[in-house]
Amino acid sequence: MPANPDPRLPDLFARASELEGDAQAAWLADLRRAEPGLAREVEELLASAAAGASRFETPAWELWTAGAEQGDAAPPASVGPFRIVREIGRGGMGRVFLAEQETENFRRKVALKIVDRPGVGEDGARRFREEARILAALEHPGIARFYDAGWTDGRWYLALEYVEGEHLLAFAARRGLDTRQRVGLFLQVLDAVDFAHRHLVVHRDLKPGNILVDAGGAAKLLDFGISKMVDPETATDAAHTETRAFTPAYASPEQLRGERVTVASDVYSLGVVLYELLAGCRPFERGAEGSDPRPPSTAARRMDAGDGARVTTNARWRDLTGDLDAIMLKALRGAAESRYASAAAFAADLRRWLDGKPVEARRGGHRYRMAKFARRHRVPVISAALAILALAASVTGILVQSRHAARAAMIAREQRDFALRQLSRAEAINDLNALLLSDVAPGGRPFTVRPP
Amino acid sequence: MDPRDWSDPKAVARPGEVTELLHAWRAGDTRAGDLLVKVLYRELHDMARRRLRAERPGMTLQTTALVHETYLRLVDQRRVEWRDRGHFLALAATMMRRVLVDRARARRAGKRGSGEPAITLTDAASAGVNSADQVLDVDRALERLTAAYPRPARVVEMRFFGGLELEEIGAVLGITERTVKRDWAFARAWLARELA
Repeated sequence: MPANPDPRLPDLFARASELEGDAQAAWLADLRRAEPGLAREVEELLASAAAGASRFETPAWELWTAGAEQGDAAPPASVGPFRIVREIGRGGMGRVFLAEQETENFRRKVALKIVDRPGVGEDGARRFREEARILAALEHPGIARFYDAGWTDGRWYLALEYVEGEHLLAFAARRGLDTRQRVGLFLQVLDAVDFAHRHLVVHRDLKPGNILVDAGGAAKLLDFGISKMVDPETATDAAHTETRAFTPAYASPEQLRGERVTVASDVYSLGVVLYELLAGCRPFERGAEGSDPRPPSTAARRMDAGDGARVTTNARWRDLTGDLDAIMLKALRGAAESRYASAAAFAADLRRWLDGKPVEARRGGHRYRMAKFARRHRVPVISAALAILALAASVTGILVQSRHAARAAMIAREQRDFALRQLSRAEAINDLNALLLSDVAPGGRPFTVRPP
Repeated sequence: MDPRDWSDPKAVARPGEVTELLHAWRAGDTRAGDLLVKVLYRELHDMARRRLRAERPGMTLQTTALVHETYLRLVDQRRVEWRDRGHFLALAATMMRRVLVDRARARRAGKRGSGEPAITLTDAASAGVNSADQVLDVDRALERLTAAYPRPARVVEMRFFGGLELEEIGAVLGITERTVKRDWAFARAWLARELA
């Protein structure tokens, strides 16, 4: 419990939240000298804001109806070989407990899922056995490990690796990861999902809460509770009649419509997760679900620095503009077949972005590839482009003056294409140019090209 | 002042009467305020119960819609000022909190609910509230916040329990949207620390 309330605290917290990195540290250091008690409180609040970034975002009623109006039978002291420590989660079929398993040789913590809801019935039991079967087959560092499953005292239980960590968004916020680091973290998730897909398992409920990151920064997927095996022949759901259970905010359009769920549905959910991780909010404004998502950069830009821990700096939305926008929007396409064909393809595109290469999501745009090339080889390209565009501009100018507007437009297009062709040729001679420039213009200034 | 007898809550279900109550309350009639609270509580409680029964699996109760619908149904739109609307919504948010807390208490006391379906196994870290105990914990923490920093606590009540928009909250409290955002961020951090 904090000391007596200080009326200055809210303002100080607001000011600190608007600063980042070194600036924030320096500001806090100043405050610490003047008011050590207040400074500590501000620091604590900043830490809890980062850890609980999404907390209270959803109105209480909606959280309540999503899981609370169910029986609360006292948990058993132990289930099979597991001693129950405390409850850590709950859902439609049962609860999840932190439990301990102790044998002569080892002692470990496990996440123990127990189905103890009245009325779960055959369907629930079948889903449970299915999850156990699926998990036993999935051994990957990015997926919470399966230990044991069974039936005892009238309950099904499932023992999984207990991951000590925080969920993806909280981790990224608390560590203050930048865009590249966030993408790097997310690639771990994509690799784990791709592994599951290659084992013909679709997760179907990918969301930040099901992705935990441990203190070492390793991400792990949890909760394959509603995952399923895909029939490789038809790619259809073998258990189509089972109870639909998923998280609407992350579910793909086909999932919401109750249609066939494939790897593309996981790709979509991952798109939502990445969006939230990078832009700080979900793709759809409340009530606007079903329309086209806003580009992440636009959404990030709109998020005000005043909105708590989800501080988005100018740099953040600038990072997203263009390639990352395109990548996320491709993952979020309404039509499943227009999305990335696999988690691996999604990952490959993000790796291209990290390497500064043209991304698949924007393929086809000639102009785009040229621009990308230009960014990688800024100096020589700028000089070549200046020369060519100056030429194009003068030709266009003359023609427009002679009022042959349509023809002028056509010629301008030709000139532009010519310029772009020249740019692509410039790629080939770029290495030579770079070498020449480094000698000719040590100050970093390009040689000048006089317009004709 | 209208010498009406406000003693029967059932008598004020019609829009005109709730509007009169709202006017009387704003003019300083505390009895009208008390009655308004009763009417609103009963109304929201019934509506929440009906909704929770009717919703399909996987759906949630839309707080914002519920509060605004109540307003449209209970208040005569032609006779009300914009400021009244804010006061009504704020009061509704308080009542939403009370209804939920009562429901959580009843649940913890062992009464069975109507077995509304859950969405999925939720990870405790991702949800703010997911059991009766947690609702009550948040409620108590919010009371402590009210004692220390009343305005940010009001913002939480209106937003987290009442589903009101930042703009609406600003209008009720007479502060800018930017200040509402700051209060909201502060209160969330404060509560997250309390509940950690």
